[in-house]
Amino acid sequence: MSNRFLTKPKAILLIVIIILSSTGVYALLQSMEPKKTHTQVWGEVVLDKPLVGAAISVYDQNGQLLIKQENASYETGAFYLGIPLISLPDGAVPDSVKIIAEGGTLGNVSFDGRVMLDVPQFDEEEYYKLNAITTLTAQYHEKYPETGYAEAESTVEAFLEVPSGKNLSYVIETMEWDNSIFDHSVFMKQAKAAGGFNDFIDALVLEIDSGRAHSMKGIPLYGGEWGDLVAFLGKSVASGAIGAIAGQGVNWIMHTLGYRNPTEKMVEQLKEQMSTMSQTLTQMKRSLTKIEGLQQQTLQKIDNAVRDIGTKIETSYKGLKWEIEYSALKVRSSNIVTAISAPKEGISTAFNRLYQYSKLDPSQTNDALRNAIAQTVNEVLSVTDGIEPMLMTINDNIVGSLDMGLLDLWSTILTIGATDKTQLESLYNSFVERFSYLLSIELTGINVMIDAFHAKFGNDTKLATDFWASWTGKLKTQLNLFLRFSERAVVSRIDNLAAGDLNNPNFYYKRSERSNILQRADEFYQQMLSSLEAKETAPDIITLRVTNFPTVTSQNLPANVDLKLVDAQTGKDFAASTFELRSDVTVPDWEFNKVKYEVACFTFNVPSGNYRVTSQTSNLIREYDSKQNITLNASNKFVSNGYVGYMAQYEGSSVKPKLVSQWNLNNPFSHPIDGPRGIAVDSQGYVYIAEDGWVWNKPYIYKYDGAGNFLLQWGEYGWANGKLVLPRYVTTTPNGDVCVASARIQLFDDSGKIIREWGKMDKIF
Amino acid sequence: MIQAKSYVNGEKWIKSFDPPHPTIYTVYGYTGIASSPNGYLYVVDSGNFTGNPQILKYDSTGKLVLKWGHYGIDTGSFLNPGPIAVDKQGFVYVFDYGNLYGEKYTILQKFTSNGDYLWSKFVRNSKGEPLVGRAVAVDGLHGNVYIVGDEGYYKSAVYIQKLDSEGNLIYEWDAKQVENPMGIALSPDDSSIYITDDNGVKRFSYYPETFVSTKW
Repeated sequence: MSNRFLTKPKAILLIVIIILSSTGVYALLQSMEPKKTHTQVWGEVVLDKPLVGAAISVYDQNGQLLIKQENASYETGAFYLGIPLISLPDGAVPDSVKIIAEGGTLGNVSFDGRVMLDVPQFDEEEYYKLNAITTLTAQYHEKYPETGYAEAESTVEAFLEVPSGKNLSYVIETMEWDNSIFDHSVFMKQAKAAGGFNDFIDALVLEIDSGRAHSMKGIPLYGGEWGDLVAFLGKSVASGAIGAIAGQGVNWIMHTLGYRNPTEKMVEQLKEQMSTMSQTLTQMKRSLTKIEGLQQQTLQKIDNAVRDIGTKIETSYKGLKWEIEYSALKVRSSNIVTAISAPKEGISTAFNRLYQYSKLDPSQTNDALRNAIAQTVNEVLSVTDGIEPMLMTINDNIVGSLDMGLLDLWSTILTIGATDKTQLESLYNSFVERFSYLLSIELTGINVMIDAFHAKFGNDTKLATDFWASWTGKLKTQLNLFLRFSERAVVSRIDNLAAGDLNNPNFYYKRSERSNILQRADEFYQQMLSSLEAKETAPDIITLRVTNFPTVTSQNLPANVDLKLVDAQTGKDFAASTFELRSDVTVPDWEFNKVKYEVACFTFNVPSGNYRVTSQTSNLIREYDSKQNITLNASNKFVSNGYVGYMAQYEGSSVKPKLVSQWNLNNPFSHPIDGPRGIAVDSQGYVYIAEDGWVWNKPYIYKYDGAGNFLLQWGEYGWANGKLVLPRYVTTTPNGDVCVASARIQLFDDSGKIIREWGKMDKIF
Repeated sequence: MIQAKSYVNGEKWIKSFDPPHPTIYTVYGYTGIASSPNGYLYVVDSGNFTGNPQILKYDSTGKLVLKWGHYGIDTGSFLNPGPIAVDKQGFVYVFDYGNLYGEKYTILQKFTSNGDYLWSKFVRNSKGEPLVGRAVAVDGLHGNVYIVGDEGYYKSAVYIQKLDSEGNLIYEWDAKQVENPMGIALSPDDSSIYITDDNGVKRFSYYPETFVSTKW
């Protein structure tokens, strides 16, 4: 495991070693390496749920108990046993051991089973997972000790119908999110039916003996639909604190992207990403387990130490002549006990207090008491010998993994996410914000450890101050670097995309990932390019609206209006892409109010530029800039085929409607929060507005003409037929009726007379 | 009992009243209604009361001909559906509201008139920030979708957006004149956009006010 912060000193050391090794200094330096005093056994016990509060025991292959810790597994099922080497019979953990978890609670139900794992080759760095499969294997091996470990595993593989090409360790690694081979919930269900976990394991071993197979496949979590995908994402990262955090991250990104219906390709990519993330998370989870374990044990030791001090004070009482000093110590002792209940502050305070005890004025304490306290302090300190390597582990695993995890997620975004630069940038910003938050959570955990470390050296020593400053400084630098790297990566990526340069090496933070990300980024690049191209050619829309006058009959209008749109530069004709004759339309806002007109619309899809509208049979020849709003006035009129015809309207993407009028409602009770809600316009142009009126119990439906002239209002609070309660949504039907939705659906005619109502939600009212 | 005080022409008056129901200030049964040109009526059941958010389709006689949707986040299901619009071909647009880490968001979903899911889009402004869609309407000519939305809190910036029928943004504008919009509708010729807000109704139009066309 590389040790980032010691790299430089180590390098210097290496040079010194090379120069001086022949002189025998090498041996001297080697003897300065700190002596190893502890080892560890760590991992997790997870069945269908994490096993919480289980006792963890470690046995050697002869069944000799090496260590047992009660209440050892945490909420995630993870456990961490730090073992002083001196407590082990041979001063080391033997090669082959058996780890057993007993008791505890499984999803708040007490668990009486025994979860086991055989470890043929013990390695303190290995993270051991205990589950139903390992238990079955271990039980089988226990029954037939003459079969080797490997043989027991392959027997269980065959028994569980693990497909060829996959093995048990694959199944165990992936079972958190892939239940296609083995599903713990299926197992636990059958175990319940069989009378318990242990009985079921025994029964299964008998089944193995009978030569039968017993598959425990689950229903696939991932079935190709979006909902399943979310479940898949959620479940795959749901275990452990970090898992939950990162799971929210993935979920959040998918939501932000708005992908509710991803293509198969995206799903494949996500699955791939999930697999990587899953591994990353496992690593991170391990680090957290370690921290948590160390924290718990340190607290325990401190607790014991403080109690010990109390006992020793009691026994030394007779020798201690100063009662005042005694009671002062009592108070401090209880202070420590209080303090350690708050972990972060507690460790630090407790250490400091202990130091103070050890520095009691010799003239005021007897030697026996002072020695006893000093001994206890030393004992506590020995517990924390692991802190320094632990901090390095945090750095290497958590922070390092977080970097990679973030980059992975980011490359996911690159591949399936944004379609233009703005969106990309905004995605990136929210991404950084979100993960800065996640980093801060990580840092809280790290800070606990830093505090402990700080306390170990004491506030007043230069060593602690220096180390603490350099540690936090380095940590901050690293995080900043990461953020800057990511930012630079994205910015240069965007720039490169624009410049078409895909080979700029600045983009990639990890060169080893380069080809992989490059390939995905290429796809993204193509996707983005095509969408950009599509946008460039996306036409503006010019709509020419043609309204004849009442004197003209509608039938011959389309034939007679021969409007043409011509590019002002090239003279090129544009064919109308859509044409529609719309009859019986009232355009009430025009001055020729409330008269029915025939309206024909011609739509031209055109590139940006200048245009001319022409008509052979009219006197209209006008030029338009596609970016300019056309002022409609009398000069826009034309005469077509002898009729007085009319005007044109530009409706390009750069032209927005303007506020032309506003009107207040005719309700004396109107109130800002009581104001109008739903609005609908019927085919005649009449406007209906629903005001729910909950403040004053004055619900109304209003009818206005399109220009805002009040015509009609109706409404009375009540549940009776035709009365209103909180009408909020309104629409008009093609034949001019008005339909209102509240906690029922009500149909009124255009004068406010109730026609029918239905769908009342009786349950509530 | 709630007491409200107001000052009218310098004279103070007080009104006391009982609220109609403790829950209905924020919770409504049906949260959207729209009709199609051939007379079908689409009503959104928010699911707040029934526990099952869905779209109900009635014919012009009031007979229930179709319903679809259920609670969930997969395609075609709803968390908290709201305003609805139907275009002239019968395609249905529905808002669905959600809340992610305290941030309100809106998803616009499109269905065929048979309730088949077509697509869904995250409603956001052109800067990419999530918007809470307040109301939706479809124009008759092009099938373009008009959305009025804000940032989800009282008197936040209001955006009016025009989307094509695939949900791509054609344009948006920051409608500074509008406060707390609640409804949107288009005039029959699509030339005007009506928006209800706290202060009444506002009409936006492509046609500038200078337009005079009758006198020729």
